[in-house]
Amino acid sequence: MIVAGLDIGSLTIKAVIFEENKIKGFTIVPTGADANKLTKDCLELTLKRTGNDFKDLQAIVATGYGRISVPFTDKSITEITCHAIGANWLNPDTRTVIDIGGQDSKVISVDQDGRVVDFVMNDKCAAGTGRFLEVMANALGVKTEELGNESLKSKKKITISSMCTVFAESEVISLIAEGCAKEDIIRGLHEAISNRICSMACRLRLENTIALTGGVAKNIGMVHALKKRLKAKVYVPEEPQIVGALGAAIAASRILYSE
Amino acid sequence: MLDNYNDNFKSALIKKIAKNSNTYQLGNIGSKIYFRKSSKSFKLWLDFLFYQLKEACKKRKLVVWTNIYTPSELLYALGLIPIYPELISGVLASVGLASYFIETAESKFYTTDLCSFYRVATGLVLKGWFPEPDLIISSSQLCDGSTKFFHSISKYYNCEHYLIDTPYYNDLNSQKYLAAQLKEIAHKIDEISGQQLNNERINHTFNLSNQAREYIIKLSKFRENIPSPLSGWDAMAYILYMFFSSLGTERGLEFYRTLYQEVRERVDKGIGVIKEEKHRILWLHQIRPYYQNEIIQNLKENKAVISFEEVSYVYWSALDPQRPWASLAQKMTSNFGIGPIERRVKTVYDLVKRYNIDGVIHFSQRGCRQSCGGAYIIKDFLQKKGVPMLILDGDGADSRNYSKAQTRTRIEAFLEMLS
Repeated sequence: MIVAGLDIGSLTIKAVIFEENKIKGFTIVPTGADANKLTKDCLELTLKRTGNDFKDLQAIVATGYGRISVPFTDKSITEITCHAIGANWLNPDTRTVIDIGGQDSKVISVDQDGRVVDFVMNDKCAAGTGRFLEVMANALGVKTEELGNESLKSKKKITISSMCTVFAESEVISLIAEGCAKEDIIRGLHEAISNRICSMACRLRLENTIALTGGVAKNIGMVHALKKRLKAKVYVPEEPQIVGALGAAIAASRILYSE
Repeated sequence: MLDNYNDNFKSALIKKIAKNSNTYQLGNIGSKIYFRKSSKSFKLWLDFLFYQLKEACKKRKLVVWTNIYTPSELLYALGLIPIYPELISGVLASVGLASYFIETAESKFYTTDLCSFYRVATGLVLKGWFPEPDLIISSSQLCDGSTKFFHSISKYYNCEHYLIDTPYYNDLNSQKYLAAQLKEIAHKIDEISGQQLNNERINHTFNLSNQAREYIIKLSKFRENIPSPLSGWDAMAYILYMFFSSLGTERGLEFYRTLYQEVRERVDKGIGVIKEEKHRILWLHQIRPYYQNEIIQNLKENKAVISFEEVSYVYWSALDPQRPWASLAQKMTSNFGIGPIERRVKTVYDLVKRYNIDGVIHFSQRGCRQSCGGAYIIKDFLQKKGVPMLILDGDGADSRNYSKAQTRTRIEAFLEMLS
């Protein structure tokens, strides 16, 4: 039984092919203006990698912000439910999921079966999201994927006080002008986001184990900052960015079982 | 129901407003904007809305600007024509006209952090759309933004502002303190209007209010029904308008009698708001977003219905014309929203049980402190009782603060959690 999970996020599209309770393959591509076409391409690329064909798929579930507009899926489920399912499958001890995605961040309480018990999401602004880090990386002239390693070099603590993306960007530019080291600024940014995420997370009953999911969990500096602040048992999946798509694929296989 | 006719209403209203820019004309044409499919109660509301505006423009009686927790019976007994800026702001938001007034207010340094309903109202004032007030009577109950708004409006129009200071606790001392204020205001109005407030008028107004109250209680009883016969989405639109502004009037009574009959018919026939009712929702906070939004569709698609909303709960006892001031004071202090949060928590939990609620949505309006402040305490309490609650941050009148996708994700994830 082969199924697919698609996570159409604001910055990236993820596809996971799932067979007999195993991840057979996955692909991550950047989101563009034609999300439908890109989603289809992303899925087809994954199928090619796993040596399958579109018609082999017995069910497809979509999640993420673009979930509604994709025409070739069987069902759409929110990313909150999907991240809970995905994280639970990867690590059954997961009781809390912190998903930091491109345009929002979510904290989800999960039970032993991977069901959502409660959740909170960030406010309307981009603070504490992947987009925030992208803007800052741009201001610093660093690639987003290099932010993590750069920040680990930091020796001096810098506090970033602004959380509005525009204000923080100008704060970063001022700090560069003052001659502050890039790595210290980046660490400051990670800590600022981590503080914001943690204050949101504390609205829920934070229970171990805490799984970090979403693209931002690939940033080692961010993970360090969160671990330091959370003082909890933290689990980072090998590929945190596909947890939503994985959850969608598992949901797709459950649809088949229930039928 | 307002949403069902939104487009017709909007285009008709905008067209008419473009032709007749002053409010008197708006009052004149109001009765003509009827929709073939709309319910009788909806038409009665529209009639009432425009009648009030028209009367206010005629200036035969004193025009008083007021807010929703000032007992309307006091104003009608005193022979005043009330104008409710916050309610009218909601109506304008529902027909897509709020942004224009919000931008007007913001151009005069009214910050975006203020309650959007009062920013719309401020814009309306600055553009001269409202019939001018002869005086302002407002209550400090629950809404702190309104006090500041009315204070600045009284300066703008150079008119008296009587503020009814509502105490925190619901006890005899508070009621006495409030009753004394109400009595004092009544005497002052008597002096200004030159009319003597008599028992007959008080009797008449209170009786009308009490009769309407009986219908609201019966309606609330009907809403225990499964499937839900009346959508909370409507209850928080035109019905809410009448709930706050029409008690104590013949039109108000007629409205509730009609609404009662409409809902009764639906109950008798077993007609629900949606075909298959899976999740019964209780909506918290007095308002909902009034501009074009997809929330009700999101709920409907997921087989959820707003079975009841805290704003429609009748918290006060029947008014006693023999003790008018004490009775009105009691109505005010009976509001479960004032005082310690435990009062609201208790009422909310009672409503959850009474209406067989599966999940609670708390709409946290930006710029509204009294509601948002207690949301987490309610959530915590309900969670311990096994009742899930979603805190939905949003804006009631400023559509610029609405994100379709983000709101949809929150609502859908919440409903998935209930499944």
